[in-house]
Amino acid sequence: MRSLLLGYGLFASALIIGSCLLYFIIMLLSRRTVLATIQSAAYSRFRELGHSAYTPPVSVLVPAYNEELTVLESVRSLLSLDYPGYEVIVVNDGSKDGTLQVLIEAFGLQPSSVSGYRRTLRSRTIRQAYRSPLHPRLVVIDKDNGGKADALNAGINVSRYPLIATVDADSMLEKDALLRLVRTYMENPEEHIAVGGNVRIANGSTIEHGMVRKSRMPRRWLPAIQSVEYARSFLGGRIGWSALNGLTIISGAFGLFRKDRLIEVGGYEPGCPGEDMNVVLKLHKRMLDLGLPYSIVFCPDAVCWTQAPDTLEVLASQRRRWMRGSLWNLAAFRSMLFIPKYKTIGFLSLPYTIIYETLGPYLRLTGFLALVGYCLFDMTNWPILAMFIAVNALVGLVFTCGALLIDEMAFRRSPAGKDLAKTIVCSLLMAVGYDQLQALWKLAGQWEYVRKSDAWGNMVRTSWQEGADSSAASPAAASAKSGKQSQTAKAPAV
Amino acid sequence: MPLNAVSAVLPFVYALCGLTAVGFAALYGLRLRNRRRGKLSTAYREKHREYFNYVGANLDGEEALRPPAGSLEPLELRVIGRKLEEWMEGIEGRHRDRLAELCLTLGLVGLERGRLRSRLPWVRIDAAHRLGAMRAREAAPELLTLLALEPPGPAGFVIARAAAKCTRSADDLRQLAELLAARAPGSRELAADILASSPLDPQPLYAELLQSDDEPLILLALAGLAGGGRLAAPAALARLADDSRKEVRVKAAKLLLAYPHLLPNGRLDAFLRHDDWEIRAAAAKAAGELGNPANAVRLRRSLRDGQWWVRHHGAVALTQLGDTGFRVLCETAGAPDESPETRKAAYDAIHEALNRASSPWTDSESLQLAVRWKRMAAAMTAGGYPSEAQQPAFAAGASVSLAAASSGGPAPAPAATATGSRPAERRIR
Repeated sequence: MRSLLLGYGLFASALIIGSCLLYFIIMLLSRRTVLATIQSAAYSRFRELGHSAYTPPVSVLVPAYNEELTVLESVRSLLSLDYPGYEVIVVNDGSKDGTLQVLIEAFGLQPSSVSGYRRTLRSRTIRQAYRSPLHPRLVVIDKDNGGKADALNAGINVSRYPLIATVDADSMLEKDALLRLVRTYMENPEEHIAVGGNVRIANGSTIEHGMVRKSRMPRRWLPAIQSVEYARSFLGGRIGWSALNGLTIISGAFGLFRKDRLIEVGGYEPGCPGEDMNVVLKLHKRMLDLGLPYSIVFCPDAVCWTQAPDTLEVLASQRRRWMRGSLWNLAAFRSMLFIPKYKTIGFLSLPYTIIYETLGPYLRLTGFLALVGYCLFDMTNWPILAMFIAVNALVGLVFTCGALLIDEMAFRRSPAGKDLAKTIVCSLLMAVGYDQLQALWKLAGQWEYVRKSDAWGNMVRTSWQEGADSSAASPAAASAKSGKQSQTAKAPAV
Repeated sequence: MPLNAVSAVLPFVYALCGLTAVGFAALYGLRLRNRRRGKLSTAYREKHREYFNYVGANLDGEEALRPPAGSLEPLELRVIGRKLEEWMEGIEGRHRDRLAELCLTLGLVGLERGRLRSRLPWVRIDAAHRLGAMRAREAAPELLTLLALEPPGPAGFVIARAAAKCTRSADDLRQLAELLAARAPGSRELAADILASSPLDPQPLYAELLQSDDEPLILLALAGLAGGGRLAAPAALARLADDSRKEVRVKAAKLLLAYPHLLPNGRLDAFLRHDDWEIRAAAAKAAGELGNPANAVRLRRSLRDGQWWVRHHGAVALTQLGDTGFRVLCETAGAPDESPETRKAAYDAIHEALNRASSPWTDSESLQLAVRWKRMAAAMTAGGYPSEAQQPAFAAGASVSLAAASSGGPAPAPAATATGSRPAERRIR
């Protein structure tokens, strides 16, 4: 029994080390592209593109469900983007709160028809369209509730332009974020069919007039840990996967797509808990089936700020849904596994997702428990358990360090002083508690998937001003929050 | 056994520890360097405040701008360079030329040209970027060579923009256009935007490239001309509008149709009947922009087109032809013998026009038009399209819910809507 526990614990450790090595190999293989991406991000200047006649127009879609606390700041941030030609389409997906009302009042919306409505994708009935005389770029669509995917499909039907950007209603874009995303698209418009933006956690930052004026590490521990998790995922993982054309997800919080390609694959999948992963996999499959050259790329310098859950309950709900989304998509695209024509996706990305996203939670948790059990038999063997934790912590710390280095080299944005210390502590905490909790949540998500539970879970929204204050652990802020069935899906862990 | 297992993992742990230590040391070093440079830069900017005032005050002068007195530290020189670059990014013409001359006098151009030869790629990219910002014409040949040697990728566009800003002659510009077309044939709009950063006007180059046999170069020229704001080389465009290559043909025709008042007689009609739906759609749009009621009959044909875009632009164009066009729309919307697609296009355009004309922010002339058109619509579409249920709201010009449009039938299956797999074009006659 003891040797079985030890053997299993070591096997789990080996797999964790394997994931680390795999990432190093990916970064090594794609080092040229990674470097070029970082250089390009650091030296591209956008004064010219921001006023250029050659920049393609974009329809920015904002699906909103019970977002009355955050939607105004988000729309304000979108209306003040540095971009020559775009429209903002807010799709109110049958909200039960005052989302539509606050939009009508704040922007002086008037009922209107929509020019060029074309039903290319299925979606629930649109009740009414609204326009604002003060903000000609803004269109608000009120429709029956059908979920995030359905809202996005309705938005695509209403959109006028050939590029679609999707932005969550609880997120804010930096002024030049859209321009940076489109610049990446323009580098190869034929092949860059989708471009993902970089999502950062805004909890604790200073927000004014729809802009993040001063970014800070969240003061509360849970959002702070997620901030480190997002940095690892976006700046570490996605740059490497992007270089290999192996991205399996573009964050629902901020991404850019070619509309014709979205329509070709039937748009977003209603009912899918991970619609952002689903649409990316559909695009991969379609292009690889047709044998057409294409790339789905990540743009690290296009930054979107979003709110992270700040309670364990909400975070657990979000992670369970992400796991259900992963499983749903793995089941839907299992036919791509190990088929030569599906290249990186079939041989690397999907197997990686299966091993480290789906089986990983079992391995991390059971490996940890096996070693705990082994040590309980004989306490003198505690170095084994310590080694397991140390390996986990160090692997995480290496990824965190890599992400911080990229952040500093390309954007000079890495945290300093206390924030840096907090980042390191968060990174270590992830190995001794957070990872195990995540594993539990993921297992619960797998169980929900087996039981075919399709609840979105309760996401709690905080207004942006409160978000900044509540990071100082203000309990009063919690009372101002509204219950929400979240429609957001942002970033599965690395 | 357990201790063996621990010792087996130990090398990996040491490696991770080493990697982490090196990583954080590098991060600390980078931050320290950036912070130190930041502090020094602020101090140098403060030290040279009077000098910057002198430069700003003498930009209009005739005399060459002088460098600051005394010897300068390398970083000090760079700080002055950054400040001048910032100014040069925001101004044009003679002022910028004078600052470019000052950069040369200060030795900044020579310094960055030296860095262009560095073995480190990020140093080369940085130098290229700086030279571009300083409009260092002397560096144009080196930048073009660097671009030719740079492997395809995003960094190439940084070098290309720098080269464009430094171009001295039409030859430089042409060489850059050829390099861009060869390296990234699909990135035509970005390439055109980069070429537009040149101090030279690229329009004559585009006109010249239209005569080329090289398709990427022609397409780059067409993309460039599309953002040029004026019609160049109409004869070449007219020839290319009949080209056997579809993309060339469509783009050339669209350029001609962007200036419909310059089209020769009969050409618009030919475009409205063209085999390519993209050209028919652009022609319908152009006919609307011309505002000539005589085109109403031709646009009625567009309403019956098999392609949604042609019907849509045709219908919108009819609303731009005054009462004549609106009458055609109403007749079409109310005609039971027209296809549902045709009637829907007409109905949507009527609806949109009425909403637009009767919005609270419109002028009195438009309001009068709205009243007249509402009456016309009510009279001409009675019993026809829209349905009886929608009729009162429609006749009153009230905002009708889009529900009818969005639930009016099943959406086509994805395969059928696919751009790449669309069934052969069908015209409804």
